[in-house]
Amino acid sequence: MIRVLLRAVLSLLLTLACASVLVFAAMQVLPGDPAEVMLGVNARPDTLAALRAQLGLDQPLPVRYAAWAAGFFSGDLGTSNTYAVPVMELVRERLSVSLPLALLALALTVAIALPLGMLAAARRGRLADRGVLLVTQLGIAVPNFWFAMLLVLLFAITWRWLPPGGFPGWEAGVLPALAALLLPAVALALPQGAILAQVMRSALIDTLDQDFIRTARAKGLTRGEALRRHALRNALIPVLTVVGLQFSFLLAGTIIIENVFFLPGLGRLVFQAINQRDLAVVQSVVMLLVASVVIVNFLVNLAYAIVDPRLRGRA
Amino acid sequence: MNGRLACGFAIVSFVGFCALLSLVWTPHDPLALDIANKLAPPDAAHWLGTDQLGRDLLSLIMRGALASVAVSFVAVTLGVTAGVPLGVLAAGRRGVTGDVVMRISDFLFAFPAIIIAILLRETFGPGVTNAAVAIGLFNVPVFARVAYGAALPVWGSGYVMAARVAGRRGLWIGCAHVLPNIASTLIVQATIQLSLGVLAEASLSYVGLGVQPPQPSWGRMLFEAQTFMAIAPRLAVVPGLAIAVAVLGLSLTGEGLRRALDPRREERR
Repeated sequence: MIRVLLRAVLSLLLTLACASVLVFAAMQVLPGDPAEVMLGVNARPDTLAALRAQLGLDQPLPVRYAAWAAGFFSGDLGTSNTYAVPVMELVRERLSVSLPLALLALALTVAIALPLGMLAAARRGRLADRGVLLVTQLGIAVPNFWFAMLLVLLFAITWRWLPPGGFPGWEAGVLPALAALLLPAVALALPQGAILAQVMRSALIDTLDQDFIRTARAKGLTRGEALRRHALRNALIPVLTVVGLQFSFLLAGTIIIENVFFLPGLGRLVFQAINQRDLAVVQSVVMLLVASVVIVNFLVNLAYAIVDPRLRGRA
Repeated sequence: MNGRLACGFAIVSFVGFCALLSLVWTPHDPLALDIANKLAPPDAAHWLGTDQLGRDLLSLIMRGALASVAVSFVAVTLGVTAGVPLGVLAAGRRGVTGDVVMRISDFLFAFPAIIIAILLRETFGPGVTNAAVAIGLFNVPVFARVAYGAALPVWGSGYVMAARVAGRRGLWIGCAHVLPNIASTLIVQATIQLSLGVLAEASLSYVGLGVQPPQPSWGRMLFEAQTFMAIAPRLAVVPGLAIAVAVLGLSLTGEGLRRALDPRREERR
């Protein structure tokens, strides 16, 4: 087990290193000098040179990469060119929006998927099952940002129950902040919940065919009891895996949904930084997003190995 | 042919037909501005009305279908051409080659399409090619994994062994025996990736990483409609419906094909 763990960690570090090289390289190609963007076209050459030196742009590429990577992995993400504050500070501030949003969306996803998946599996082939299949198929086909716009149209513009966008900040109180996150979270949760409900359904159906369910039924449990007490727990393994794998979709979705609702989260930060050519921010935030996907996948693989001893050799 | 397949195929053909038709004919020029007639409700001349710049909505939707179809098609082609050989190769020679190939595919998996699109935009500047390449790169590990999983039992089968004994080389066996045997799995996956591609193109164009104005795209139209949502919700509803219908058509086709090509699953479910 320890050898497997070591190998997995080594491969995790290697992946992170490759990813950081790729992200760094991608940021260096596009013409456009950040120093020129900051000072404008009329800047004097010596001022430009001074700023370049201050930003470290006069150093050779490998040196700049090493400085950035070493900083990144020790928690120093560099300094924003536009805001002149540490990127870490910006990230922390934006995470206070993005993280609760993602968690709320995840909770709603599970809240949608579990009952729908159980209902469909329990009534396999009947009307309820077909209904769930239809609803989930539609849920997958609807783009989440369009669903978000429809939610705004209905709940914010027509009925005026919830704010159409923006974020009051946690200082304004927990309820107003949650109200601002509710519509975005619902929009994110719809397609994810639909996918997860389908996974839940087929996982449950696979489990319901197993011998131990027949034994449980033979002992006198009703279909519902057998489903809840025995099948559900066994079906949760593939479901949890999919939840882990959905993380990268959730992340991509969050980036887009934040733009629909003008939420000051990490996704908005990336796009603002792109428009301001704030390379330090784009580079570090993109790397942070990639790292989070890599680490979550690593943890999912590890969880596999812990749950299912047969997979340990392959982790 | 089952109901899903027929229904999905009809929708897909209709969307594809509209996209191709928009190349030679649209009711109006989709790029022609008519500010005097902006935000006009549907009438005989403009079946779906006009947008905030007086452009004909129906013509925009038809031309937008072209962008959607083209981007997702290029992305799937890219994913298949790069991913399938990798997966088949990895399955054929397990050991170090297989390990390396699957590690690369794991690595690519860490980059969601939107992150690749952001990186490409920073490297090459904005453009629709970025969207196609970004979604395509995301497709590569998907096809590599599916091909790997499907090819593994084929490489171990008796007829592959027989071909080896007969002195056939690995490349020949891969093309003549393995590929035909995993083709149905790949076709189903390609349909699913096409539907995901339509969704991804719309998302990327919505945030400005895909099709650039003035070229029409469903995602871009939704972005522009957001400002006018309170006065002209029609502009926000129609392109979204177009996306949903196209994606639904493709996923029904994929599901139908899966059932048609693998009857064993049908019985069990």
